[in-house]
Amino acid sequence: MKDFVRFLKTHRPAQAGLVLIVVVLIAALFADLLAPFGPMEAVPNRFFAPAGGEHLLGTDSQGRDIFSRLLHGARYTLLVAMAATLLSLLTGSIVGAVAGYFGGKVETMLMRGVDFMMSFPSFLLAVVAVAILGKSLENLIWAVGIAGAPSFARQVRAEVLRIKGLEFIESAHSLGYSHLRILGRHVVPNCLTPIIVLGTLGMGGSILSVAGLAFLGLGGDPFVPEWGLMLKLGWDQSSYGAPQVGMAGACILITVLGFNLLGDGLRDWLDPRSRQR
Amino acid sequence: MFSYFVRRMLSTLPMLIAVSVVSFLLLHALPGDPASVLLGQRATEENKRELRSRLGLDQPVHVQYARYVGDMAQGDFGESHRTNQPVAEELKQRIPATIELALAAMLIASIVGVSLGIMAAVKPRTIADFACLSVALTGVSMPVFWLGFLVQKLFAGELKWLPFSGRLDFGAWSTFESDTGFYVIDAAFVYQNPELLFDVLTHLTLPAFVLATVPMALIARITRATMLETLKQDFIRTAKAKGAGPAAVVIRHGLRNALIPIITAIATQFGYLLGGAVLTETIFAWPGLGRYVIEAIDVLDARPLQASVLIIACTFIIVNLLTDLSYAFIDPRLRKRGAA
Repeated sequence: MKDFVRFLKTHRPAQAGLVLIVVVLIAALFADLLAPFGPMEAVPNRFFAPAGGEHLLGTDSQGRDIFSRLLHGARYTLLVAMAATLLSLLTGSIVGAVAGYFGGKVETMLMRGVDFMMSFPSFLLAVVAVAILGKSLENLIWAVGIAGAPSFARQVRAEVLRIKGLEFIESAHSLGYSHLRILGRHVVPNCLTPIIVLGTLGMGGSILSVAGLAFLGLGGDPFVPEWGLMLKLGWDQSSYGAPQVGMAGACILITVLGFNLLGDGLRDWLDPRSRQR
Repeated sequence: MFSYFVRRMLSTLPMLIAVSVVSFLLLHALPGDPASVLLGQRATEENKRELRSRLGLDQPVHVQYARYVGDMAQGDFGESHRTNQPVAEELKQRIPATIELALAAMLIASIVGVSLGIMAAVKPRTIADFACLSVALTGVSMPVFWLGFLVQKLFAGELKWLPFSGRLDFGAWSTFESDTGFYVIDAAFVYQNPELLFDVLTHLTLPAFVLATVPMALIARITRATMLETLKQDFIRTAKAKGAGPAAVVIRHGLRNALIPIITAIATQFGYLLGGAVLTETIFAWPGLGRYVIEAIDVLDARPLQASVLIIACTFIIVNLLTDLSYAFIDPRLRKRGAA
C-alpha cells in the first residue's frame, strides 16, 4: 500500500482519475445533503427553466431541478455499474480460476463456453439479454454483468496459470492441502491485485454499457434519475431537452474518464516494465 | 501451414452451430408463448393454432430446430409481424447499410489511429504524443451516443455543413432506388451521378466519424505502443546507420514490423463496430442492422431478432477466423515455415 501511495505521487494521470472518482463518489454519497431539491420533486409551472438562479442547471420537462437529479443520478449510475462489474468479476473470476487451476477437461469445457460467449459482440449480448429478461434497470445489471464476464474469465485464467506453476503452490500440494484450500487461500489471493485493476477498468466499460442500453430505451422506468435514462429523456424532447442531454453526457464522460485514468495508472504500477520508464 | 488453415477453420464449426442454437432458442426465451410472440398482440386463438401447426411448434424441440436451420439455410428467415414483410427482404437493405457504415468507420479509424500512433511513437513526449494519448483516452471514455448528439448539434444544427440523419435526402432524390443496398456503390457506379454521390457521402460522414471514435482510440494506443518497441530495436539503428531516410526507417523498417498487433487491433475492433453500430444508428436514424435489432426488441418481433443475432454473430466469428488466417500471410516467418 505504501508502495502504491509513493507511485501515485509520481503518476499524474492516476491522481487526476482518483480526484474525479472522489468527486463523483461525494456527489453520490451526499446527494441528499447537497441537492437543493428532491430528484422527483416537480416545481409546478416551471418547465424547461434556463440555468441560473434558484435552479443551478435549469429544470426538465416536469419542472424538476436538473442539478439535483444529476447528483442523485451519480448514486444510481455508480450502483448499477458497480453491481454489474462485481457480477462480471465474480462469475468471471470463478470460471477463470477453476479452469486455470484444474486444467484438463474442466478447463476445455469452461473455456469453450467463454469462447462461445465471446463470439457475440458484448454489447449485442447485453441487448439480447435485456430483450429476454425484460426492460428494467435491475435487468441491465444482469445483462451487462453477464456480457462482461467472459473477458474477465480469460484474464483471470491466464493469471492463475502463471501462479499455479510457482513453487509455493507446489509446496502447498506436498503438504497435502485440499484443492479448495489452495485455490481459496493461495491462488486467488495472489490474483487479487490484477483483479482489482481489471475491475477498475471494467467500471468505465460498465457505466458506458449501462448508459448506452438506457439510451436505447432498455432501462425501464424513464423517470429514474440515472444518467443514461436522463440523457434518453432529454434526447426524446429534441431541442428543449438538449441542455439535459449535454449535462448527463458530460457526467458520464467525467466518471468513465476517472475510472480509466485510475485503472491505467494501477496497471502501470503493476507492470514493472512500465514502472521503470 | 495448410493443416493449420484446416484446423482453424474446423474449430469455428462448433461455434457456428452453437450460435444457430442460441438464435433458435431466442424464440422460446422471449417473454410469452412463441406463437403469440411471432404473431404479435392482435393474433387470435385460431391464428395461433394454425401457426403452431404450420411451423411445427407443437413438435419436439429438435424437430423444430432442424426445420429452423433448414429454413435459414434456404434464406427463409420468416416474417416480421411488425411490418408483415419477409425478414430476408428487409435484411437486403439493412445489412449493406451497416456494412457501408462500418467500413467507412473502419477506414477513418485505421487511417487516423495509425497515423496518430506513428507520430506519437516517432516523437515521444511531445505535443503529438500528448495528442495521441488524449485521443486514446477520451475515445474509450466517451459515451458515443452523447458525442453523436454533440456533433449533430454542431455540424448539422448550428453550422449546417452536414445533414442531420438518414442515408440520403430522399426529397431531392425521389427516384433513387438502390440495387445493391450500398448507396456509395449505387451512386458511383450504377447512377454515375457525382451530385448524388456527394449527397450520400455527406450523410455518411458524421455517423462514420462517431462510430470510428472508440476503434480509433484503441488503434492509436496499440500503434503507439508497438511502434515505440519496434523503433528501439537494433535493426532500426542499423537502417539509420546505413543512411536510410527518416520516412523509410519509420515506414519500411518500423511499421512493417509492427503490423501484426496493429492488424489484430483493427480486426477485433470490427466486432466492436457491429455491436457499437446500434447506438450510432439510433442517433443518426441510420436504417441498419443495429437499428433493426432495437426496433424488433421494442415490439418483441422474434424473427428479425433471431435473424439479426445469427448474422451478426456469424460475421463476428468469420472476421475473427480471417484475422487469424491472415497472420500467416503477413508474417513472412510463418510463410517460410509453411513452404519448408
